Amino acid sequence: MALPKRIIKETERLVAEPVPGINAVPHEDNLRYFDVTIHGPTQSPYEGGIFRLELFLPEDYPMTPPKIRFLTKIYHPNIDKLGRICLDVLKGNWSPALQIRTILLSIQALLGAPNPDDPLANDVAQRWKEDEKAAIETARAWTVTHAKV
Amino acid sequence: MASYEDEHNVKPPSARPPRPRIDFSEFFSALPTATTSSSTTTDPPLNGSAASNLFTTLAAAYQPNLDSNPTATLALIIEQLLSSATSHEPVDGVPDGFLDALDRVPKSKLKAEDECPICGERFLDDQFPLVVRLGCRGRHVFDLECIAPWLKIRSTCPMDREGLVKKREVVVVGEEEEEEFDENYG
Repeated sequence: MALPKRIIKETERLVAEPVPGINAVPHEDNLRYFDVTIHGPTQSPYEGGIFRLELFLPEDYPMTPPKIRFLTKIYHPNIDKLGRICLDVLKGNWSPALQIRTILLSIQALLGAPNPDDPLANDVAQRWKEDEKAAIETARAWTVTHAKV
Repeated sequence: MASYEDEHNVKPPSARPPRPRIDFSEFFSALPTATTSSSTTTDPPLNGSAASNLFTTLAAAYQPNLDSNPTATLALIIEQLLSSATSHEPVDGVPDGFLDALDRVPKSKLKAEDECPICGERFLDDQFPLVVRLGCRGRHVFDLECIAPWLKIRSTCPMDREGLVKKREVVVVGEEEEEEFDENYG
């Protein structure tokens, strides 16, 4: 099936006007599949890390949200060990007026503001609530181990 | 007569043990009950709990296979199916006729720079734009072609997430009350 114009436009804009700290490049052989990197926000335990993600635009995009997963290991209460992300706009709060760009910005914001009250990684969220300082330290250590190029 | 293998000069396939088949029968038998909740032929809405049960049934179908042949992929499939079952958002589209009743925006009212928030195309790039305005407070406008598939699964405006159906339900209730009122007089 031909690639919808919207996907072509979004891709062109991602390349022409990239979002600071975010990079998304489609695969040559599958233009619905993107290699993504997100720089950890400053002032967060992920600062200095570069996190790799995969992003796939399903057949019915933009009626359904993109499928996104962290490939780089990350210690975060809303990201589980398989890299899946707990984020409202990726689920029930998706809207076809949102874009790849806006979703990636939301994920970057999630790194800056973990939400242990809406966890996906239960053990991490638990630790985050019990001992936030130690959890942030672990997140920082994981960033150094897994997300440094 | 020469066998297929002789003609193509290949070795016959070695007899491999048959792969364990996944038993989907329970899943497929559950399928119709979930999809025919509405008798209309156009996109019967899959109600949330039925869809959720389907995910669970499908996960259960894979489970014996995982027990006999544990692989990471299979474990992932099962885990995702189960998470789909629990985190499934029910389909909540607009009723039939809603799309036809939307306000049309005439071409003369469209500005050159106006574009559809869903496809990102300027309305006037189309020689015959078919543009509709939603009943949300922002009165947001979309190509009918773009907004229609969305409204069939969610009855909210994509721009402000305002629900679009409640107001209409109120109107319908009002009409029904009126009818009953008339009957009292008759």
